[in-house]
Amino acid sequence: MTPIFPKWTNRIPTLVAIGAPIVLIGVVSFVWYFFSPKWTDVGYSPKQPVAFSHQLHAGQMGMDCRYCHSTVERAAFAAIPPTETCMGCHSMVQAKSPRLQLVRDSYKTGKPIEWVKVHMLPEHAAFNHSIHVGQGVNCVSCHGRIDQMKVVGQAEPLSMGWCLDCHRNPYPNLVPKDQITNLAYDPVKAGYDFFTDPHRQRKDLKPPQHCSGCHY
Amino acid sequence: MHSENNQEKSGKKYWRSLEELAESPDLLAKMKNEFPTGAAELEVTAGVDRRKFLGIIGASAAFAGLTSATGCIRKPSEKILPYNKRPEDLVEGKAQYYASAGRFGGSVLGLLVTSYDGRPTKIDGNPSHPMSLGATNAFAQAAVLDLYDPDRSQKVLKAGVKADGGKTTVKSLKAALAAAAAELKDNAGQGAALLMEAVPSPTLLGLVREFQSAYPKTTIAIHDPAMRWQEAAALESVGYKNAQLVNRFDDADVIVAFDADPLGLEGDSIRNSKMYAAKRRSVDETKKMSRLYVVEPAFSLTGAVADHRLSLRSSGIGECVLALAAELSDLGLAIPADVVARGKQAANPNPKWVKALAADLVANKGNSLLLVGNTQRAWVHAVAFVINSALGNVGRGVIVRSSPLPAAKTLAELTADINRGSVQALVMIDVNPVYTSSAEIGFADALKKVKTSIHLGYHSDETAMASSWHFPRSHFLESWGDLLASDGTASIVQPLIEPLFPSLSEVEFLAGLLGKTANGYELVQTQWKSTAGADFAAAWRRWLHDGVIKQTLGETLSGKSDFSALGQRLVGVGTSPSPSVSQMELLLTLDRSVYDGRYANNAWLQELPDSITKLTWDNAALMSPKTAKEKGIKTGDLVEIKVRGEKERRLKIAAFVVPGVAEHTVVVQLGYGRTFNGRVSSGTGFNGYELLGRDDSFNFGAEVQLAGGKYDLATTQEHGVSDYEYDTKVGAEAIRNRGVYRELTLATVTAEPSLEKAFGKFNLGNPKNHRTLLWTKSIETRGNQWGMTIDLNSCTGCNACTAACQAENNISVVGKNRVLKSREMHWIRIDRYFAGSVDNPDSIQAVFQPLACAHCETAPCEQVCPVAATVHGAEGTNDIAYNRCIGTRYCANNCPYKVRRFNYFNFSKENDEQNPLYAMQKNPRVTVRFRGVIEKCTYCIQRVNAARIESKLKGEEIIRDGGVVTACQQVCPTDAIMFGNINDPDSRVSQLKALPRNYAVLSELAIEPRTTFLAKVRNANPELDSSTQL
Repeated sequence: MTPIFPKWTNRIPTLVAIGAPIVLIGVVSFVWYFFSPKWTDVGYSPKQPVAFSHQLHAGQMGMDCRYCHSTVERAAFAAIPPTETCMGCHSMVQAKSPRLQLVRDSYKTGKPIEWVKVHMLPEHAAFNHSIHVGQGVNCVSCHGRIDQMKVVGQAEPLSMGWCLDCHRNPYPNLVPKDQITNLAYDPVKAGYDFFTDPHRQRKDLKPPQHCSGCHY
Repeated sequence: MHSENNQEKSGKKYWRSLEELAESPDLLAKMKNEFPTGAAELEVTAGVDRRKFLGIIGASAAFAGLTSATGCIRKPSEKILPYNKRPEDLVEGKAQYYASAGRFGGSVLGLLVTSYDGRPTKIDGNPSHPMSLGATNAFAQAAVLDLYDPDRSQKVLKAGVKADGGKTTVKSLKAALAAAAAELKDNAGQGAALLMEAVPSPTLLGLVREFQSAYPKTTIAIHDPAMRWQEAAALESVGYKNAQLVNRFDDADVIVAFDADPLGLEGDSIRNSKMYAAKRRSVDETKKMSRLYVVEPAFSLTGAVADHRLSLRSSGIGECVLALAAELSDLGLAIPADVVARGKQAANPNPKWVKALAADLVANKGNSLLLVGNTQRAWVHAVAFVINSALGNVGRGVIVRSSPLPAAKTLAELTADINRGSVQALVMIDVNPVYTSSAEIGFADALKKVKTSIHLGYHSDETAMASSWHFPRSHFLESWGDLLASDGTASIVQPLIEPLFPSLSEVEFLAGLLGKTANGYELVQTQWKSTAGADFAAAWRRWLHDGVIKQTLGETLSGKSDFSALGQRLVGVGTSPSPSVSQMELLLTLDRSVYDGRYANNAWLQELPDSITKLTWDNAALMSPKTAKEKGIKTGDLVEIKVRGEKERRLKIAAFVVPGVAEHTVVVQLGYGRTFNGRVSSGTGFNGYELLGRDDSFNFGAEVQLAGGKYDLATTQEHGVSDYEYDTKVGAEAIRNRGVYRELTLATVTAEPSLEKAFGKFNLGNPKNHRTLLWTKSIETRGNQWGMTIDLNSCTGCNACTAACQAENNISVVGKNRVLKSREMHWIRIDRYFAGSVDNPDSIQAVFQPLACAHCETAPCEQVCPVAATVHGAEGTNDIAYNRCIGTRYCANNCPYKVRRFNYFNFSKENDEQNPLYAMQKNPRVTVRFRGVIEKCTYCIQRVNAARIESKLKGEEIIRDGGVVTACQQVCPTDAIMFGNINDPDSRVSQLKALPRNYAVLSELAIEPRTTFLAKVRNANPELDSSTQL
């Protein structure tokens, strides 16, 4: 009698036993990496209406972040500067540059420049710049080396897990309060110890880890 | 019977509706359900059943998936539009606060308005203003929504049709105003009239005087439900011309309100409530409290919180005041002889009651206060003034002040003038008399005879359509102005935003008609220039900043009262026959939600449940259970009310049976049944003005007949948890009182400081026996631990907290049909319980209990959420992550307080689609919820987070006491709500929680709620104490 199944079918269980975990691990790792903000969001650097270079302004010329993003210490938003701030310099510097035509037009007509938002938090999450800056989190912790970017791109995933990593242990990201906008500052190299910093009264920062700390 | 047993065992029996009292099987069956009947049923547009609906959803989801395949990888790109030139002092996304003022229900309130990036989003009281003292009422809370009313008037109308081609611009508005002014000039010389509200605005009244000198034949008329004509007439009869009374509750130990509502709709209710509540709360320290007596025909807020309340028809109130005068004279008080003589013959409704009241008044000479309501006749006010004088209250709690308003005629007198032909031009400033007046006066017909009628109004309402010109009015948050409080404190009305649509403020309108080109800012500055002294600019800045001008205008009159003419006035008054089943008494009252109809297009106020009836979106003909039974009328029946006057007046209206209404009286609230094209107001309620007589708000000889047919009334009185518990195991007999609402008497509080015995009755079981938790929970004890107390002894059930919560937390409006299915979204539900015997209206009491999420320590909701969307916060709050919620509603089912609300539909989106401007009001600090998620009180977590950030930035470990003020706490006119850190024994909330009066609702369930209540204390007069109380 001929067997119903040919002989090679005997190998199917073995192949499945070996193959299924590989496929499974493959799918999980694929989703794990390629569906996560690390892949989808990091590196997002859209084209801006004006080719403003942070590398030039913040890097080479060493302008402080707060010269333009002036509300960062007071408000939830680090506001994009009004056209007026640009024109403070550019009414004299590069006053005729064609690359700044849009800025001059905006200043004249009152129409705002439509910048494209780069750092977008997940929906339903509230974030406040003032408290993070106020506690001494360096800009670089979330925004990366903006001073080396010609076109600003997202450097960190800005996902909930990433936020919580720091909220569980904020101390490696803390710098002296006068070094907040120094993007090159490395607390380890500089030998900064949060716990012995005389300018800090509160040693237990207790960043919120419960839901309503950010979701409300 | 078990109910009597209950009475003995656990004190008073409270019930929320007559059905509950009667233990109607229908209701009991309803209460057994997880969710109220119909709440969970799918209701889709007609013709689409559940299956089809799911099919449609599935198809659209599939399409969405196809089209947005890329969209799920990368979030859609967003733009940031910065300012071109950032205004000075502006920080994007940070709230700014501006002082202003507004007039609500006749009281001027100083306000502090919140604005985010130029959008006013919330109105609160200005703590330095004497009439608001930091609190507001529901009207003021909802006024911000009026600003964004999509139906507000946006076009100039000429003879009811759009002038300037329907494209009103600022320029064409000015041109139209000039044209109207020219027309006015042509006609006003032969006789003009100015019809306005009783607005105590110096700038406006200055312009009125200018108008009078420009057109000498001008009649001033005032049409305002808050105008106290009768009181003014009474004061005139005792020698004070053009005067008004100002009542002060600061030192009042005995307060008697005759058909008056000083804590609700009349007078400076916010200040009165603050002062009244302070006198009630003093019980914890001094064991002393003020005592409040109320005689009234139907429950007002004041009546509901009264220690003793007598239910009496409106036409019998005067007799009762007279009887009291005679009684006081017997106790040796100097009452004029003719008043006493008349008082002896008066029909005394309850001699024992009046006698006890008289004795109490005499014992508290100088610290008592007698108030008479606006609808009562002048002679009743006069007799009450006599009593107040004899008791030495005049100059203390009762202050006579000169009125800032000019001598004015009533609407009826003005109409007579028009009919005589002496008015050729009529200017109407923010009044709507075509709707808000009696047909007997015949104003609508008279208006047609006026050659030029120019109307300024917020809506293109009934009067706007009937006038020859209509101009849109600016909201008070868009216009400059000024207002005087009743004590003479002035405030500048400061705008926060340019008018959203071309419109005029009251002063700009009147100035424009006078040919002036000055704008509102210049007009108000001109008015105040002389008072500032040398440095006007500095003074102006200070006034705008403070919100009050510390200078008292007007004067207190202290002349000798002259009672000699009083006897004559009392001849033949008050001899009205008692109403009967066939000839009932009709009482028309202002509404606690829409006032006289001016707030009818405000969705928040329409959906706000009335304090007593808990009705939303409608008014009804209220009558007592006994009367209704005699007439065979049930709640929801359509009845016809017929009044025979000069003309026969009829109204078909739904009946609502509610305790506390005087026998053979039918009460109809005004302000509903609007006919103008408001998309919120249309189809709500019945127009009570159709029953209004010439000058009375109560009439005799109203016939009430069943008209056949039923009408759905959306009342929320049976929604949520009850003081009853229905035990399914034993059957209907096992209903028991659970001590949800607790009440004590002052005698108990004084005799038994620990209150252990008094509360012992409510110990319905050992919490430990109920404690079958899924896991043991360690209660956080670090840092700030939030908690709340609500003092039931202060609460007047005024609804301000519910409205404030709605404004602060972006709570959606759902509409009448959804309220009928228990889908309303209010985070704070104010439960109103009745107590007493239905057959004896005098024994009926009403009490209020605001109930929101209590943030239980071992919250039952958290234990059943399958996705951990509702979890415990580190500071003891019960949090919800909206984007985690999958809408199982297990939590709402497991919540013993029934305070969790479910978004059955995308209510917020619906609201925005129906009223496109509503989105501008939204608080940017609070998530706008979407379909399919649960929401509930968060303890204003956005304010907690803001305060935490602020205190951390300052380097403080703990948020200081008072650092977080919840929206409901901030608005409360009686300071009944306290919020704070219960971890700090010195915080005010901890101190309140330590009081013996403190108790937790349903504590036997071992849920350990963070919100606890302070039991009500009733200060019963021992003479009248029927000892049915604890």
